[in-house]
Amino acid sequence: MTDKSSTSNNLNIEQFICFELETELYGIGVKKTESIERMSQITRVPDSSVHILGIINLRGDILPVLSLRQMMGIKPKSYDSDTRIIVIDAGNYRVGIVVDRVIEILSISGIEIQSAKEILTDRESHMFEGVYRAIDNIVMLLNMDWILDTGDSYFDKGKKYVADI
Amino acid sequence: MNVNQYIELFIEESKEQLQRLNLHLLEIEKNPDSTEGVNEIFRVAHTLKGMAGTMGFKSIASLTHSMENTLDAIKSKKLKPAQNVTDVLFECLDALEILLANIIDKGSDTGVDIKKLVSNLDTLTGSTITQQKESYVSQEKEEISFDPYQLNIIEQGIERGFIPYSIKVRLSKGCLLKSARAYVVFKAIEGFGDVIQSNPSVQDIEQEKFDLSFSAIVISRTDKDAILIKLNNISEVEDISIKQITGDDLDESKNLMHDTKSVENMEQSSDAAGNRSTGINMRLGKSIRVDTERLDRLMNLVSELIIIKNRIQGTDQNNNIQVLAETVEYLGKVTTDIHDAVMKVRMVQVETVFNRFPRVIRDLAKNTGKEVRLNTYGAGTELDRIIADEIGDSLIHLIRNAVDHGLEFAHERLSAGKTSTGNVDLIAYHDGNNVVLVVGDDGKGIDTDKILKQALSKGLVGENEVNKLSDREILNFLFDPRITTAGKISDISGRGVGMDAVKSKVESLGGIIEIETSKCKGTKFIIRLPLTLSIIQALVVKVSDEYFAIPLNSIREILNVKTSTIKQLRNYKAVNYRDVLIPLLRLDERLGTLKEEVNKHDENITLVILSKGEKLSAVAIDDLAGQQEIVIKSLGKYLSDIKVLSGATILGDGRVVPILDINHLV
Repeated sequence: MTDKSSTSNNLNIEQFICFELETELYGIGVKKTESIERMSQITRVPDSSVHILGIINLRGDILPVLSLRQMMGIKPKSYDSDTRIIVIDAGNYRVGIVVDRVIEILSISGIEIQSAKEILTDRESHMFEGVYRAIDNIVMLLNMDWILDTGDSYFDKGKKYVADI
Repeated sequence: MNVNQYIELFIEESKEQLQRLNLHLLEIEKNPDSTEGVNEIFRVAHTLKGMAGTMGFKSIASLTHSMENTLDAIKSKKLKPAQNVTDVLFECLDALEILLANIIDKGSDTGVDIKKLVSNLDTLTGSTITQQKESYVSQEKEEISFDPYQLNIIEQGIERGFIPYSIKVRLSKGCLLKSARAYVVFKAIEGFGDVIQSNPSVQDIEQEKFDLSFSAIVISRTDKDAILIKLNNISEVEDISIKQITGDDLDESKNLMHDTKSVENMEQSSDAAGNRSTGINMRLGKSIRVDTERLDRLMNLVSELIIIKNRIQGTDQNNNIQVLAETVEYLGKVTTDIHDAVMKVRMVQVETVFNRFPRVIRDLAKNTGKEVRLNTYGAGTELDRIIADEIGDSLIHLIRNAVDHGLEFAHERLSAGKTSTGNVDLIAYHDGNNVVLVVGDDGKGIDTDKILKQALSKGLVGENEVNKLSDREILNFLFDPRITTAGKISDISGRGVGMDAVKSKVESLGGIIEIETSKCKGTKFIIRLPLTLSIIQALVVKVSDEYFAIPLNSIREILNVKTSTIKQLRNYKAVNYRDVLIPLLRLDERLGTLKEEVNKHDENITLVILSKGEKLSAVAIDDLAGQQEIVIKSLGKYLSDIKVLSGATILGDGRVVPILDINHLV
């Protein structure tokens, strides 16, 4: 995580998909994403962790769908016409994450990203690659690698985490 | 030449050749006079040599070359294929298999010291053939030969006034510390000049891996006689001969080098091939050999599909419902046929797996000293290629167990009234949508009491539960990694890790394994595997308001029973099914579909009777949505720890339905 924030400390411009969750803005690097899909019917998966909503049919393939709201400790919300699934390409598998609304694609250069450690608690900071301060808002840039790899066991205790907040 | 693109072909082909080698070697061992077998092996060795040479795999090339020499001697009746000969040939086969495995893993044929095998082969050949042909390995020439580097040093030495000598030393018979003595000799020689080559190598001499004599090539400015006198003073040296190396010797070496130049080239290209082909294992197993007849059939079906497409396009304009309905029906038939044909392309005969076993049995019989005969039935049974590739090791394990634990020694068998030779049966057959593989023996059977004792001592079962256990439940302890039936641990089996691995392998392939045993009559391991892995018949059921698919091959029956027939046994529910009480599983509770406690007062309840092997259980469902052919789709790596599902399928209307894994559910 630390090397990530330091490597982004340069002038390379990266693109991020900026989306809304409740009232906050989040970003995911375009390199990690495959597509943005409309909401479709989710089939529940028995015995799965709380943050896994289920599976959907993505053009003939099965795609697991995760709730970012659950992971971030935000109350669930019913889906509407703005709800989107962002398909993440995690190398040897794919997952989708449900977001409230996709806003725009941001081009951010490395120096504009502030390390998450300076702002958030340790526990939360590894979820983020950094924070981007726009003129009138703050975009939290998600560290998808951590969320998908190590985060799984972390969110499994999800219920407790939600209760904390 | 870029040979990398042929590497897959080479590996496939080599595997086949090695298998053939294996079969015919066994044949020769049984029937040493079989010229047909010898010819066949010769051909295989020759083909392998050619292929390996082209691909730049030097070790395989030189080993097969020596094998060829030996086989040639057998062919021309100069050498009898006695036991020691076939043993060496089997060793070569093993080495070749390891080399091939290393090619697959690392992309180079290293990791096996073939020198010893080559020299073993050459001793066999050498003892009967006086006239030895040129060879790949210089070591076997007792005469002096040098590699280019040594040759270079000698030539440079001569230019600067050194004289090259070949010194042969024989130690006296009673010599005790041979290596120490040799060290003294070498020390003395080094006082005169530089040792360029020693035969055997310095390491071998240090480890006393030599008989009584050794030789060395030395360049020195000292006179021959002076060296001789000095060396003669060393005690326990019986004989010393010093010969000056002449220009002729060097020329001979050079000629030999020309001969082996092609090999040198190979060496270079093999290094290159090694570099290029690292990571080939990633792509391996993806190519498959298909009978052209099957491809033709597939081709025909696809052309039928095109005809149907045209027909549908035609009917569209006329809006003729009748013709359309007929066409759709036809389409259904053709799709089923195409599915069949594609599946057939993936199928291989179980023979490809079974072919490995005669050799396994032979080695086991030798190691254990038991008389064993292998009987195979149904080798023509077809199963999915992936399954065939994966199941082999598990079967080997079962066969080992059968020979090591199951079968008795010849005298024990005779006194038990059996034939002295034990039988291991390997049976394959189709049963519905399953392939059944059976490994059976007619040995002493499994002692359930012994297992029970172990299970008790390891705390797998409590004292008070012992009486309730059925034989089947006791036998199932065998699959526990903590249990072993072997009285003592042997090389072959008995470490108790195997059965556990076999079971999980079978289950990972979607199959089940069962044990049948009866005292003094033998044991059978029965493995049931799905015919294919991707398309199955399934029943779609509704539980609460969710749909799930249950594979049809694990469904025994669907029943409508009165709720009053459900019995409550402490915390468990059970139903009477054909006069036997079987456990009833509430799917809604198990799968968490139940949103709130609803008091259902229905008179009737729909039960699906599931079978996991012989074990039956019932699940209650709310509704049947019909039987259909479904395509199994993986849940992907992210959900790989969801054991209760074996995947999911997509129905015609695009809806996703999870497929229940009955093996984990009940």
